[in-house]
Amino acid sequence: MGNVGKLSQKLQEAVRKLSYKTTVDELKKKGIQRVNVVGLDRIVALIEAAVHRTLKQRIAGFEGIERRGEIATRTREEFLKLLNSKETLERARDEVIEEKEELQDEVLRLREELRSTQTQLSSQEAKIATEERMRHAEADQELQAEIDELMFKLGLAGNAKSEELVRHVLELTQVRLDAERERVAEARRKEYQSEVELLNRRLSKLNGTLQETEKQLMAVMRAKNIDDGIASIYKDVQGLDNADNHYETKKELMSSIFEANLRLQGKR
Amino acid sequence: MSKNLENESSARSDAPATEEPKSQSENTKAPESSADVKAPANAKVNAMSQTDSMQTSSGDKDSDSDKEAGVLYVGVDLGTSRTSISASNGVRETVASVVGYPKDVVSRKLLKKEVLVGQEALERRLSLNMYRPLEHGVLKTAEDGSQDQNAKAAADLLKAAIGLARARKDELVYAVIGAPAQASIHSKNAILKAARECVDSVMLCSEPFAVAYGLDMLEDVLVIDIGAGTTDLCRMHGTMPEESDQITLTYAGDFLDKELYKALETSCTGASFTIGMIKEIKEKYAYVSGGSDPILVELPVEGKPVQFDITKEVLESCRKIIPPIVDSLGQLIASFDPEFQHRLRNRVLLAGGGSMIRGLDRAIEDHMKVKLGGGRVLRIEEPMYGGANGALKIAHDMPAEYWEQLR
Repeated sequence: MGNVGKLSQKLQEAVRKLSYKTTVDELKKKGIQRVNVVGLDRIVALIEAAVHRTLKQRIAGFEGIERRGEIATRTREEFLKLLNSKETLERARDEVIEEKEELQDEVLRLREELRSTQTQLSSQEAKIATEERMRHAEADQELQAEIDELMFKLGLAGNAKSEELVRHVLELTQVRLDAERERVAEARRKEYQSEVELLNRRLSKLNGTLQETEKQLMAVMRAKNIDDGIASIYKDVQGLDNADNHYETKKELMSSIFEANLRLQGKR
Repeated sequence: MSKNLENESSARSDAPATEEPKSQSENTKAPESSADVKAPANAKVNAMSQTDSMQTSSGDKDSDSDKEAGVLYVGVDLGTSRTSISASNGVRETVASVVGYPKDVVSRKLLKKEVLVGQEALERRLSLNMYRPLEHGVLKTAEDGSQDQNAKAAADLLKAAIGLARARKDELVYAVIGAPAQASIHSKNAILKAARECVDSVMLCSEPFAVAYGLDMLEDVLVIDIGAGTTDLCRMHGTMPEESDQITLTYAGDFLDKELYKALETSCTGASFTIGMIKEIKEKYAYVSGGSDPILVELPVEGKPVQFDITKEVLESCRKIIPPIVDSLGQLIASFDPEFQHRLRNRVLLAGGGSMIRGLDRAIEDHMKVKLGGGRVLRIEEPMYGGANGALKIAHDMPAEYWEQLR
């Protein structure tokens, strides 16, 4: 496809992208009953004609038809480049928006996972502590009952000496038992500690990822704002056109409006 | 101008669809080759969007020194019922002049917003404290004279409306706002204060003046701007209109709603309806001359939809707006220089949402013939955007040094 064909196609795409969809009902709501329709081909042809005419005018002074043709071709190429760069930018923006949405989902997922892991950890700790307390209380009770039964069988129950003896035996047993429990608990703690460490590592990793993702999200949100909005057709402040039919009248009117606003806004 | 700013008239839209608005402002003319077509209802139409640009990015530039990429002019028509904007990037939008704030923490969490404006607010009105900050074309005030929540609502409305212009961050934004009719200095200051938060420089102007300016009709013209709260008549004679050049009537869109409501209360026995439903009916069917197909509407009677023919009621209610308008036209014409009265009578512009009542231009002409011995009424092409387009044109024509001094 030649440059001219490409230009037409690109122009058509650009014009189509700049259009927006509306319904007849929506137009009616705005008070519009009939619309003026300009075909896409016609718009493209007009733009092409305008470009061509401008080119002809601008390069009229250049020597040689070949030179002019070369300039025209280059201009078309530049125009195509501009259109392409706009497309590239739009694509990049779409990608950024998509990325932003994905990151938002990811942040939500990570937050949920973090919350669930934290809950899991604390509930596991509480559960283990409660279970241990209950188990020890049960074992203590059983031991007390067994010693009482033994004393009863030996006929030592009921007098003060034997009760003193029972108390000593119980204390002695308790000390040994506690030592043994501590040993078992230590072993279990070690086992549990490695589990906790694993969970903590996971937590810290999740936290890190969350922070990183949130940073990325902020960056993307900022980036998304880059080409928000629609550019004005004016680069500079305009003002009244000297060639305006009502130039003098309008100049006075503008001055009156300005003076009144100056007073109203307390600038005078 | 001071008189205009301090004691002038305005109002805004309402009313039904009729004629054929076309071009935007003078700044964004489309190629001329065109054809009139009618598209099937609800068909999607691809309309040319706003002027776009191949500029790339602006980043987070906010400071004035960074705003070198362009100048966006915005014309705003702040109306009782609707607020319209027209901008030099081709954007034209209208938003209902209502603002809603979540009623409680639950609705705030649900809506995930602190402020809702326009249609969005109307759709969620049950969860919101609703405000219509303008009444009869002016900012509502509390009984103690303060503007209270209405001032905040007006500010939020204005911010939302200017936000619709989708200004780029790297552009200077200069706005002209059609000031509500007889707004007090206090009201105008509230509007200016709100606007300054979202634009670089702002001016107020008379709404009917903006309409005439937008059409380049600055001499010997009478503008009738029919809004929801007020109908403003303004006589233009090449200078800024003074107080004596303007008349404000309350025979406007809201008045017609009430009249039609009363008429249907009598004729549609057993039917239940709200003023909002009546407004919708009016906007769809209102007419005053030229005949109409039977206007059949369904209204609920004891919960069951029943069809009613309201053709006569619509016609009679809508016609009530004509005599006071023509009487006021008569006053403005009679007090004008006799040499130019004939010219003035034949250059009457009909603008505002209310001007979309079918056959209104013809009906006013007929009434003028009887009362004033004749006259010509011209309905502007874009009634909904007449004020905003005019304000945009004023913004465009305002010299740079004036904008600078008001920054």
